[in-house]
Amino acid sequence: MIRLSHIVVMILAASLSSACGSETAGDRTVMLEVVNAEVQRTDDTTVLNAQLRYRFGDAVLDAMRHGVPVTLLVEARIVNRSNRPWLEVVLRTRRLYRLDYHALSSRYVLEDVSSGEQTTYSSYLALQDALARPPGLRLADDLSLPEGELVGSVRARLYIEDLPPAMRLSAYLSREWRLSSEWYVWTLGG
Amino acid sequence: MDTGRLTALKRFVARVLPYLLLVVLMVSALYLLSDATQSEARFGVSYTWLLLFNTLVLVLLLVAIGDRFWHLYTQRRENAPGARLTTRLVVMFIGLALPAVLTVYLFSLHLLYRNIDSWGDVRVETALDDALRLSQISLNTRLRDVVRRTQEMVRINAPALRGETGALAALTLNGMQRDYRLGQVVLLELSGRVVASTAPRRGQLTSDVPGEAVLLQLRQGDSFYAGIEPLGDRGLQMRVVMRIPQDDPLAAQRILQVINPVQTVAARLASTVETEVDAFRTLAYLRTPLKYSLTITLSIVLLFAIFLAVLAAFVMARRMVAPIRRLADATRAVAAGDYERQLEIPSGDELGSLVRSFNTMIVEIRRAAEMARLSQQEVEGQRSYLEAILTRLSSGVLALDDDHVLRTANQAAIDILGAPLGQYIGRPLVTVTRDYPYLARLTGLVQERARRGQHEWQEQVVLFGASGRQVLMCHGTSLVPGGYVLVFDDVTAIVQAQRDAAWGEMARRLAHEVKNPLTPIQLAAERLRHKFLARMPKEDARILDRATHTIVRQVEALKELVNAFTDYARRSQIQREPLQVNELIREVADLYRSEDEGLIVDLDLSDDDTPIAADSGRLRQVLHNLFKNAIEAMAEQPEHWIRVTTAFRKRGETRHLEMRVEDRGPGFPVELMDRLFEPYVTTKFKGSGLGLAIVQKIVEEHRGMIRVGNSSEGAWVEIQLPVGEESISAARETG
Repeated sequence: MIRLSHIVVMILAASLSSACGSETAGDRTVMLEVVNAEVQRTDDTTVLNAQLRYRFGDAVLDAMRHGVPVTLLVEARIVNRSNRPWLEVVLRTRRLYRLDYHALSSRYVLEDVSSGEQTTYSSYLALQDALARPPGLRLADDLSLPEGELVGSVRARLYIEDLPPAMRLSAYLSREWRLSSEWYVWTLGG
Repeated sequence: MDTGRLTALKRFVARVLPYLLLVVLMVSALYLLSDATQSEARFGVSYTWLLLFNTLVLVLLLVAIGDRFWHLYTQRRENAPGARLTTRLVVMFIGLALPAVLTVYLFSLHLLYRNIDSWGDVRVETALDDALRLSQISLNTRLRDVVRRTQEMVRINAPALRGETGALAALTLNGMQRDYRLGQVVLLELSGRVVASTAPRRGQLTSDVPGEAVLLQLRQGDSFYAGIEPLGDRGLQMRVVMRIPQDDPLAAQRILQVINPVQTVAARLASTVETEVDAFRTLAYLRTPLKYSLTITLSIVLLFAIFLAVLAAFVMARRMVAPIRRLADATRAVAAGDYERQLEIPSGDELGSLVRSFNTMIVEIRRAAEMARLSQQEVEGQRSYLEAILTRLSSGVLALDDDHVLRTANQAAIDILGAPLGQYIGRPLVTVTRDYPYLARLTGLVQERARRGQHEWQEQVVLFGASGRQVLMCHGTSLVPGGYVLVFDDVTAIVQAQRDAAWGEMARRLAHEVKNPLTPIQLAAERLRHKFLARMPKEDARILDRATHTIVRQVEALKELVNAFTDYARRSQIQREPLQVNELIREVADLYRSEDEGLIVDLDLSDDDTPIAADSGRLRQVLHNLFKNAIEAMAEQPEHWIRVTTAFRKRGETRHLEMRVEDRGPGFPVELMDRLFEPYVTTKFKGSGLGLAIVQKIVEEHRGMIRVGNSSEGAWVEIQLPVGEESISAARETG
């Protein structure tokens, strides 16, 4: 039976957690960064790929192992700086990638939410490795880029808004869940 | 709509409605928040905004409460009426509301936690885990079967798989697919390039190739890869990738991939188990964050309830205290003299009765105040009337209280005493004496008579002040409520005039009664002498001659005596002008030194040559009389010595010249001391007896004072003369 003292401790813990606004990430160093992004032109199409390197905290991994999908939001933007002082936005896209653990097959599944395309990985490390190597994530297909000084930027973050509502508040207050990369900026065709 | 209702409506719209709307919004938001905590489908997206909105409302409420507490604090610091009562009511309301709300809060959490914890039944979890494990074993059995068949297929068809390409290889693969009842079969190089493939599975445009991780595993030497892969809504598939044995080390290493969909009933059941296990694990996992979120939500509700209770406490306290505060304000206004205020009766309860009584009291006070004002006006009128009388009164009037504090002094008193008594109103009389010592006789007299307890007295007082000698006729009366009133008149001139008139009358009578018969007496004596002297015998003639000579000489003496008295009694008008007294003294001294070589005149004169306002001729007469008296007094003495001393003295704000003449004669007879200034009082065989009387008369004409006395050496006469600076200034300006 739950005692009232447990409730009080829980309240105090919640308050303390809220007050601190951060949470220890255990022994793991959490990180998320865009290691590379590039526009690749093949014979018939132009695509935007990005490679990510990440290391989720225990809380995120634990959630995944308990069937809570973790969503990555990758934002990409390409602007044309030729028409200064105004920046012409050539491309602005937001892609959601859902990472899930499939208990029956003991595999990790990466799903492109917009296309529904799934890729499975036998381990978390394999998933990490796949995203860090080209082509990583395909963010846009059939790009039509104008001539000019094109600058691209890509950023990724864990998308807390896609978590179950019960988890969101604690996720907002957790450093592990408020994981976000810096903008990766590069010049196209440089 | 009447004004009262309109005002109430406006007050409601301005004060209550915003809070009411806020409460409704907050309650709605709290409902949505609690719903969103558990129901993702309905309000999941807006959860963050709801949380922010609720937090914002809480902050607003907190600010509002803080503002009220600050207002209450400032009111308490300023001792505003009703502040302490408001504090007490607020504390009471909070004290009542807080335990109840906290109790509900804690029990709600307790029930909630217990309910959430009941979700995670260990037996169910174990059963689900076992079911999942069973499904995995079942699928793995099938996977092993596919692996076995693939191994057999590779072993039998290895030569073809190593060397064939293009359509031939595709034919071989199709045959193997058919013979071994497999799904898609793909022949690839280890680099991942597809060599040949059976037709893609339904729904796929291209062949499903193994991922880099699988290829890497095989490149690193593994003979095969086997795995079950989820296909989302399309169930599961088995992927087996196997190295094809290669004899030629220079030839490209090939691999064979078999993809077999899992479409059996067992597979569907396994998927169902997996879905349920997944849901159960998720639910179990979400227990802690759910508790956390619900705790936060309930805490927001708790804070909202507490804040509302505090605000309500303030509102209620304000409503209860407002009439009391208005009453206190009105009381203060009444204390400040505002009797026009009437309070609105708030209700028919005890407070309303109190306000009604207060209004009645105000009316009574107003009436009493009006009467007091009229009385005050009457008193003021009487006071003004009295002041007007006192101001126009030629007599000086001083009023003192029992402690001899000066209460009233009219203008005549100020003029007579020559002191700004207006500045001393409300101060003890001794402070006047301290600043104006020449008033000491007067104030001393008042205190003396008060000490004796005399209720009515009259006395003449002689002062020597700024304007010289003053004779005041004082009348003192003790007042019934306490204190004294002193009325005095400056009778200096009257006394002088009376004395002058008396002496004048006496001189006239002497002239008429004494001097007039003298001439016939003298003529008769001379006629007797002239007619009978020659005819009488020698002896008789000698007697007649001596007798007539005596008669004539005595008649002359009598005439001189009467003339001297007439001169004394004559009312003279002194001519004041700036006079350096020291110079006059030196002149007179030199005259007497030259007449009597044996006379020693010792002059100890002041270095200050300030002139005084005096009649030089009259003062010269004073000096002559004094020198003459001294010389005559020292006639029998071996040494004739006179000392004249002058000095300027300051008494309070006034200055006067003090002149002292001393001799080494026998001194004044003690028995005559009181009568020395009366005419015909003398110790000398010869003399008119008017010397000192004339000196006193002249001194008093100068508003001066004269004193006489004896020292160890002889007699002394001291004269004090006012400097009369105003007269000197006036004389200089006109001169």
